[in-house]
Amino acid sequence: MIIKVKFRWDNRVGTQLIFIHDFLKKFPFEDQDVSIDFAALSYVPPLISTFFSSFLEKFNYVKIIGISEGSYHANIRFPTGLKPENEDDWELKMKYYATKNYLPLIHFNNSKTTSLTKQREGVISQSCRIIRQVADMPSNIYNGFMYMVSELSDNIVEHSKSERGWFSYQYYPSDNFIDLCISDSGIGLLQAYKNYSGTQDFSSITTHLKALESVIKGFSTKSNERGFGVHTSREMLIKGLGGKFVMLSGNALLFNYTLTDFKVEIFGSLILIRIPSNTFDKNFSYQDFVE
Amino acid sequence: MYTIKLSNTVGNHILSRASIESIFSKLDSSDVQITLDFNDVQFVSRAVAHEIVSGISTLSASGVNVDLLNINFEVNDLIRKVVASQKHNVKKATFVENVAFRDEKELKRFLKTI
Repeated sequence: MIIKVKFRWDNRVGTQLIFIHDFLKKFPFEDQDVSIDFAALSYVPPLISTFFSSFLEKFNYVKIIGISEGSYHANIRFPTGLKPENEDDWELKMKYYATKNYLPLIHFNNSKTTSLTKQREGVISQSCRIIRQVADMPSNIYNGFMYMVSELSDNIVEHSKSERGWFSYQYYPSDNFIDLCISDSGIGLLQAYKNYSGTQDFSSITTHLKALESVIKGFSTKSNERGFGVHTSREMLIKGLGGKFVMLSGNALLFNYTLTDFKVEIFGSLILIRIPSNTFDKNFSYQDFVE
Repeated sequence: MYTIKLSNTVGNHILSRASIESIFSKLDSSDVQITLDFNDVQFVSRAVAHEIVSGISTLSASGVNVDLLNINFEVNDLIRKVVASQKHNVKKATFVENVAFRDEKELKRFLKTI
């Protein structure tokens, strides 16, 4: 079976979420002989590119067609991503994007070895520096941006049980916003709570919705001294920067403060942070949001 | 006495708990005085600050004294907040509004507004 995907550009977050919803609803999970044709998907915003990359990582039997050399997809390394440890000189390759409004899809390694940790930090840091320069971010905003990126990406390293995570970005100067997505195809929030064996009682966390809500409330499976990263990032983004926060895991969808059933399930987790780029507040300080 | 210059070992921006875990795991148990030099470290995440505080606490219990040197205002403030949260573990900005849509049509109606 061949599924042709097509997305007519619409910068609204909700439209992109509807696209993901409808794709998952019609995808034949029971069929092992499936191809996805991306030829008509002329442009892939970060939310959709990260979603598909995670999805194809999980369902790696799905064949990919319609991506030609020299195309926009190939330029952003969609859907396989840039894996720093597999590149001869990833730092030099990243420099190619230093004046562009997008980066390649980064497929970072979640390993905690010293060398791979250093490399992961290096590629995420360099990505952030490029974004800062291209979007002309003042340093107070940049510190907030670094805070959110580090907290949300480190959660994938610490909790997802996946080998890798995804990082995708695009700057839209004429629409005045920056989209950044971080995702993984790991066990998801609910399974992380189900896998917990310790002294805290997470037995009431039985649905994806309860799991996502528990993450926002700061209930960490690692220690009760942890669990500050997600909700403080969300608050910093919404109240401090006037942005939008989207988080998906299983069938749980969080948009800003609204938690609802997405009515289809995604695997792992997917986060979008959307930062307006024409209203950088000189009085913003990320420390006002750190708890 | 042993000094670790974090900007050389990790970088100017420390984003990941694993960076700090890696440093502490390599320490020799015979060292009784360790200095973490934050010179040129411009940013650490809150998670990293917590990992530093936890690591110091564990080492201290084993009789190892850890000093922090050349720490900038922002990093120092983060560490201070982490220490304070260990005493009063209160998470504030945790509001969630649970909304149930009857069906997909209603869900999509909502999604078209965001």
